[in-house]
Amino acid sequence: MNPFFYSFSPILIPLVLIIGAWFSGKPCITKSIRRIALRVVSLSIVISAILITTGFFMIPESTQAGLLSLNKVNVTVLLLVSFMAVVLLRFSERYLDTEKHAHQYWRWLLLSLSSVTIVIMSNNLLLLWLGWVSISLCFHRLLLFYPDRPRAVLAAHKKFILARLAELCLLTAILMLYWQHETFQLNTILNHYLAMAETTELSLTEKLAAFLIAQTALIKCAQLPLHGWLIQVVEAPTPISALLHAGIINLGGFLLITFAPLISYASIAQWTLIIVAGLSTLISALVMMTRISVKVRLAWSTCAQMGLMLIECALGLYELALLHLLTHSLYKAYAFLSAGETVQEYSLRQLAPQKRVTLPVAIVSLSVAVSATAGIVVFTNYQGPASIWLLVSMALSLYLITALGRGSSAWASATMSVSMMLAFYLLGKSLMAGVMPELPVISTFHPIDIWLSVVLISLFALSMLIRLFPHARQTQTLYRWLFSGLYLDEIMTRLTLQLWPVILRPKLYRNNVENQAVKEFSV
Amino acid sequence: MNEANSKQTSQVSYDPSSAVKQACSLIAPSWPLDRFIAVNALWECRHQPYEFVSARLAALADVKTTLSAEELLDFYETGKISESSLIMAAKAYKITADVEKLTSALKQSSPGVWLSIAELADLSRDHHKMRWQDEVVHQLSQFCGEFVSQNPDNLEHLYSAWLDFTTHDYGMSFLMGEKHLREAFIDLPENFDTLFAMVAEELELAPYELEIYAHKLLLSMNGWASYFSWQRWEKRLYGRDSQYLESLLAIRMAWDLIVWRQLKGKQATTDFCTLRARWVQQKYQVNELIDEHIEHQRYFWVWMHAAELEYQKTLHQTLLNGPVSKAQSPVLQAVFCIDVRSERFRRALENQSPAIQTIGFAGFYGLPIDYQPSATSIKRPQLPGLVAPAITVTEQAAGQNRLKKLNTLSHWKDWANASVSAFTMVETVGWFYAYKLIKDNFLSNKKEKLVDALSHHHDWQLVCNGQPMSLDDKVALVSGVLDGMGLTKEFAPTVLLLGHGSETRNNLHASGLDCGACGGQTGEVNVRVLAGLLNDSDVREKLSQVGIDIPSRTRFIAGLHNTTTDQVHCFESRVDERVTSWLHKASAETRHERALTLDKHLHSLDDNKLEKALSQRAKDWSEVRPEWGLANNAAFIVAPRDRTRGVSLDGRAFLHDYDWHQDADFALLEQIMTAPMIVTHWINMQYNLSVVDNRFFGSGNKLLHNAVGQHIGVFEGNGGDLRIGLPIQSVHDGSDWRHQPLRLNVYIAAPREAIEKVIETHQTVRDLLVNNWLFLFRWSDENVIERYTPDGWVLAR
Repeated sequence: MNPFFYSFSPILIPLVLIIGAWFSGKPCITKSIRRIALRVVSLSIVISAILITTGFFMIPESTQAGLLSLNKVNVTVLLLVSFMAVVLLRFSERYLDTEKHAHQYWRWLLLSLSSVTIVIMSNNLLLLWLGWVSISLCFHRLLLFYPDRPRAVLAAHKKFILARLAELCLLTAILMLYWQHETFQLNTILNHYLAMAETTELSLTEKLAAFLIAQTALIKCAQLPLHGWLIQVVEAPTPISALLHAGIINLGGFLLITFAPLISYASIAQWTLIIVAGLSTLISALVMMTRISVKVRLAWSTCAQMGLMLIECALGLYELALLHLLTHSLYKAYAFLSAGETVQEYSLRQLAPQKRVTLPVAIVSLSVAVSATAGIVVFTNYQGPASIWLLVSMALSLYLITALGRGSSAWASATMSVSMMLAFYLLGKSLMAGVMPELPVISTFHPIDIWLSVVLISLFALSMLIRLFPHARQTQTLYRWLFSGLYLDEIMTRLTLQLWPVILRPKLYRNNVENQAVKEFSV
Repeated sequence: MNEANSKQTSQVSYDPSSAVKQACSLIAPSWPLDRFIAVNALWECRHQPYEFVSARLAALADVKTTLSAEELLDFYETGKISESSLIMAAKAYKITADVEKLTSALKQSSPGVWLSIAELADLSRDHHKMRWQDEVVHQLSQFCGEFVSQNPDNLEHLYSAWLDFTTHDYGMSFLMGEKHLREAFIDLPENFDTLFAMVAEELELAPYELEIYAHKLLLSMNGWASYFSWQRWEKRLYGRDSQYLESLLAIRMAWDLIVWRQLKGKQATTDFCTLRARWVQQKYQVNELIDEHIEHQRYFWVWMHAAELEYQKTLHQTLLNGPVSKAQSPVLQAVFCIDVRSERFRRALENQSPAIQTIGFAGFYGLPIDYQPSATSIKRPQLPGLVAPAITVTEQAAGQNRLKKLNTLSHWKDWANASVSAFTMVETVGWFYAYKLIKDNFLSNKKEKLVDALSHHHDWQLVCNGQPMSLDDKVALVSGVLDGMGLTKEFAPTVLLLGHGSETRNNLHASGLDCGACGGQTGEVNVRVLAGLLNDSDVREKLSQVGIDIPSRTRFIAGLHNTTTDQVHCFESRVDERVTSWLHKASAETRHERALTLDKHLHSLDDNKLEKALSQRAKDWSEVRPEWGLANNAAFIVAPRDRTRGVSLDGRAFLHDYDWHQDADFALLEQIMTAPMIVTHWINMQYNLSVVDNRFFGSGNKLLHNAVGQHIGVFEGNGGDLRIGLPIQSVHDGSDWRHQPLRLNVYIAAPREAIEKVIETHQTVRDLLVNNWLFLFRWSDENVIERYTPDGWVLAR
């Protein structure tokens, strides 16, 4: 095929999705016709994804200019989105088959996905912004798939307000960049920063723009204290949660990765990110331990995982952030879609209960982790942030050491697993490094690095405290605060209801008993 | 029909604690997800007429127990209710009216609902503020989930733990915008009996009113009340007492008291005046309100009963006119569970040859066991929820390798979900989830239940009271089982002992589709153990001494009927070829019959394609309706199979083999009427109630289910009360109900006096009959069907 065709290929996926949304969103077509239509959509997505990728690798220059453009990063993310789209289409086909308003689900699901692909490939900042707004509006309709559930309404309402706030931040940032560069072309602006010498100072406008982009990312990734809606939207069918946690929520990270060349030079943006996301990660990961229902646990876990992704952006480790974005999406989509297997997990835990972590285990693994990190820094003459290695070492040593009590074969297999995991980690990291352009990284023991190390060690220490001494008075107090989510959401909910009220009055009882009660008892 | 009115409750004088106790005794248990067996959610109210209980529930919690007017009228139009049945039903409820009047009576609006203090306070609350009732239940529910997960074995201090938690909590006060909420809790008493007395005094409640109020509050968080009632049930099985429900009630009542005081303390007292006036008024009107509901519902019951009469009429025709045929010198005897899903398969199997005899018996095969996989500490009950296990079964050879694998898997899961390590897990092996997504979505894969993965053994060890069971004990056990099945002579060369189980993926309510008689598990362990015992030559030798002669050529083969795919899998390789081919053909026949109840595209498939499609369906992780379970069950027939053989009962009847001529002292009859009859009644009521009011008795939409504490139960969505009962997808296909709510119709082929004697001796059975929870018929040897009423036997239509 000729280069001319390939230059138009990026439009294929959003187009397929929009046509799909139009057709399967019709309420009048029969179930079997819709099923066929959805399979055609899936197939078209696969074919278009293949065409786009081959086009991009065979004739890279053909897909550079115009409103949509391709580069290694967005092709990678586009493949992820296409994969998710196909997975969700297949899962929902049966899962939502008998829902009365299934056509609305399909319409808004496919439109959301279409907007996501536009945002990913957009090379024009205004188009990017429009796509961004469109995602949130379409997704809003999905959150309200069951509009008579008061908690769904409340969560969607909170999300609605925050989304507008994020859009405002992003639009302002875009206008500032336009003011600076007199263009809306994304690649022109980014090339400017890529070519910049490391010592150049940014102008105030640029710094502000970077700061606003960081803000947008923080809001979009539901970082504390603006996380409440993310936790509460398990009020929508499972595949919608999967779409949110494996897709939409990542947009903040994608935005930062896209604007990486700018963010890397704006320390104000980096500091904002590392402080807010650092605390969010710490708190969310701990709060997750106190949650009792599987989907809410997963939602808190997303909050923490998004925090880590943003942290990695702040550290300048964009390749890790991209790796995290991809793998976390896959993991979380699976976790949500298979939430019905929870009882099996319970049986597993009953059949093969694990020994409790003990204090020596905790101390040993922490010291192993710290010395391993120190070893890496000293012996490999490592220049980047040490904190990220601290996290990996803490996790892996914990796996090794808890296997110790289970006999030598278990220990041997644990050692195997740990080496495998390490290998996968390095492999994934270098793969992604090949995708990302080279950018400055925070150096070892930079204040940001030290702050993050403190956060991570606190996470380790506090989580161990809860597991080791659940009945100590201090732990109980801590646990109580975590159980309440530090009251952040309660305060935010009340503020929301005061600033922009929404009627939260579902029918108390079926047949308007309430009105009757009022009538009967009026004095 | 027995009459219902609000005077049902005896108004003897009693103190606050016994009033509360009385209310707590009205909540029925609900089993957790890993052993989700069916139960009548109104079981603890069986001493009162069903009609009265439903009026009381309607008055206190807006609960529905009948179908809606539209649905009932639709029955009339589509012929599911005929005019004659309607008139008859009206007569049964002592109403003389024509159809027109009966129709218009359905259209009256329903009387009001008794409200709690929290609900009354919500009436005058700012529309933009969070509501007391919702938030209190939400907070309470979250607390209970956390408490039960953290203290699974020590639930007694529920109330004090809550008091400690709530006096330190700011959440509600922030959320509700009430500044001094936290201080209010400090004045609450440490002891819940004191609290009940305090509430009675402050809200000016006489003991009877307190009982009503307590019941109302328990119903406002019925999910958790039912869960704790299950915990109480388990304790009672072992003869211990508990006060879980009282503790739970105390928490909810404390909240009402706080709301009351909160409003009382406010400057603007008009809200409080209104509240108090409403409170006083509804307090005095409670009996009136219940009576209004009784009056209102009376016509609905007429219509419901008309549908029941209609079904009975058809069934009686079928039974009375059916051929009586007997299996001739059987080559194969196959024993099935009484489950309604067996009916189809048995019919199909018998169609294959007159030399096949099938027998219906409770699916746990009378073995009061729990199963302990070797080298583990869990014990899984494999018997009905009514009884406590007496024998522990375990394999002699341990599945060490499998256990090791499970250990590694569990270690991995623990690590992968922990707060520190989850990040690294994602960044290292997150890629593999792409493979898992593809595998589960596009490639079919079979997943075995973990506990069953350990149990593929033939050598079983039976332990009773810590001692291995002696041969004599085993023989006594086995001969009792054979007696119960009526299988003590004329053994065929092959005797199949079939348990049943479902095959579904990604299904929180999976165990609800398994064998209820086996405690919500598959019957595999029970049939394997029994087959092992019956094939044991020592056991056989001793059995012949008590008069049960099993010929040496007879072999007992254990197997499992997969109810999702209708395949039968025998746990032994040496099965007669003829038997195998009969089973295959019967499977295919059953599948064709069942396909008609499933999706349209399955109706016209050939044998192979249908088999494939159904096994695909069983493995599909996005399938929310893998099978219809026991939906549409309606009758329980206790008679020799000869009398129903060759008759199609549409998979709606439980079938228990029973020949009264062989039951000299009617001990078996007594057993059947006090155990299987109750289990079938529970199943019937679970389906009925999940249809008539899924909001209250069912667990709502599967698409929103969110497992609590991994196995305790489900939330629908983010939180709210714990949910009990069946998901809407288990009884509704998206456009229609798949279960028609009919009270269970029990048919027993036995003499009048024998049946009457059982009714007389057993309060429970009497309650069920006198209070209209089920209908009992006698199917005489002379082929006459008559209905039992407290005033005597009445010839049925």
